[in-house]
Amino acid sequence: MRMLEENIKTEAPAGGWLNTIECWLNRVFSSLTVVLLLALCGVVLLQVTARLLLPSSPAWTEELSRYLFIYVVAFGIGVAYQQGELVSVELFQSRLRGLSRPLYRMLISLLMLGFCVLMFKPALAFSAIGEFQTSPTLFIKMQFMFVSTLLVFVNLFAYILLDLLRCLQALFKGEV
Amino acid sequence: MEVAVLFISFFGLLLLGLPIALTLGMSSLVYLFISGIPLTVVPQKMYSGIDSFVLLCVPGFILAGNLMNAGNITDQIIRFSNALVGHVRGGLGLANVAGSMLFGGVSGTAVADTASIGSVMIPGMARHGYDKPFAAAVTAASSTIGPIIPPSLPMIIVGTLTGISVGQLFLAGAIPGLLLGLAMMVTCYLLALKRGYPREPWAGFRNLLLAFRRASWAIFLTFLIIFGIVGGFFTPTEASIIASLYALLVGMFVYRGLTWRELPQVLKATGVTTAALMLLVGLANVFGWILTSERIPQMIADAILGISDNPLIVLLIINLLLLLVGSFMETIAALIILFPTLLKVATLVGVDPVHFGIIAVLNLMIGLTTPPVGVCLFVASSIGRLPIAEVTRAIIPFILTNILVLMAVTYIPALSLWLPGLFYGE
Repeated sequence: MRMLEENIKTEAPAGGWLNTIECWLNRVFSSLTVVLLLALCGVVLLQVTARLLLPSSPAWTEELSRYLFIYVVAFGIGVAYQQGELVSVELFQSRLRGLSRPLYRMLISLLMLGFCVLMFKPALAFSAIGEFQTSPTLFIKMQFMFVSTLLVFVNLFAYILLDLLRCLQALFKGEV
Repeated sequence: MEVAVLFISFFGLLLLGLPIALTLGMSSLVYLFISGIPLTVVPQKMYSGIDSFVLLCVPGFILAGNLMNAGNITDQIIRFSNALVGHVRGGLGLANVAGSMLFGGVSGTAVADTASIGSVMIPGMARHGYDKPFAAAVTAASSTIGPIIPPSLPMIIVGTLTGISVGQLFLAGAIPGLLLGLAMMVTCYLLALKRGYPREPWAGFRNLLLAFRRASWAIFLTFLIIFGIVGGFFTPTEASIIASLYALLVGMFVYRGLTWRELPQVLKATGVTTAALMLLVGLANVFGWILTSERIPQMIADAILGISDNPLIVLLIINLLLLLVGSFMETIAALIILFPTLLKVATLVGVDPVHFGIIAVLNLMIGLTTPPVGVCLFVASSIGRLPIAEVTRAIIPFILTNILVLMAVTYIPALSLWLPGLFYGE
């Protein structure tokens, strides 16, 4: 009997395949965020030590650290959404009871998804502008930097969609 | 007309409960759409909003705070604060405030302070006979001292936006921060007398010294940051990364609370918090750009100066405006959107920019502890498992204290300007 209960416990919570996708996404995005953040710290430390201790310091550190920073944001934003780091005002949600609560949450998710989708094309157009610019010290095509804005919206889209699917799944399973 | 749509959609979406960052982005999108302006403005302004070397100290100071927390520094800070003021009536409340002041010297954000001090102090105070809402209220209110005492994230944003020296802003915050801390301790003490809160036994001078020695690593970090920047050894960004390195070494080899295994988790938490803040910075920059192109800042400036050009009255109006804005707007977004405009008004009537920076940050910090958008209030309520309304009621005396200090800082410029004047000259 106890075995059965444990079996149910491990299988019942929302969605096997959703969990797998989320786990996979989390692993990839979190690792990238961590690696880039470490690199960022390394570059800034190199800048300080070079300036204070070496006769000349490299010119590219400032630029590289800025670029790493922007990609930390682009890769980290989805997980930030998932962990509730994006602050919002809660006036209605806590007062809703029963079915209205997940439905309301889904409506909000749909609005946000719409925003992300609408931003795909402008972000792509913005990155295209960067094709004709190169950065001053590293000579990178700015396209590779500007495309980070697209990544922000795609990343957010993926996580909001996951949230929405989870909500739907819970609704269909009658867990609400 | 378009501006009206901008504001209506902003407030509408905000009240619906969408994240503030996305609310700024979506209302900007609606505006651009009906004005026929190309939507590429959104990614473009978003990118330029976060592409700044000074903003790099945001992850730096968050990382330093997270590392300190993982390395047991919070415990040492609380132990020292307790040994220092715990024996006064309402001592744990006073220790909570003192802990926030010390913690604020390491981390740059108030929310980090609420979370780390709160998770130890709120249950602890409740066990020792304090009302739980009071414990949560002290935690939330005192955490707002953190960003006044250097280092401070909001002041870095102010510096990034306007080119005011971050070093000067940091120094200018020191005395107002101490004053705010003292005022809150007095409030705590008076409430404790009235409600009969307990006092802890006096730990003895030896124990106090011992606790100080253990906590001194954290206190030293504050001085390292301030004098590193003020002395011109490193920029704020570099200081933040050096602080992280220091926190890593102290956490691992002095306090031994931090292990290599925890490091990825700490880095991940830092990256994620940074991403959330920067999305807000980026999209607030879009919103701010629209306001500027619609000449809204000019209109606000004219409206304020139309009422009076007496600096005392102008500052009073600006304070009221910022208090109002701070209560429903995130600090960083509010600074990006409003600070440059208000600074122009303030300097027109002869207020020093550094002084005004401190006034603005103080105002917005009060907003962190008031509904409807009071992040510290939310965090403290959730740690204490209390309804927000109860903590809100308990926090009122502290908000009044905060406002009193705000008035003092507003009308006595020397409180902010004396220290930077001493180091940087007039």
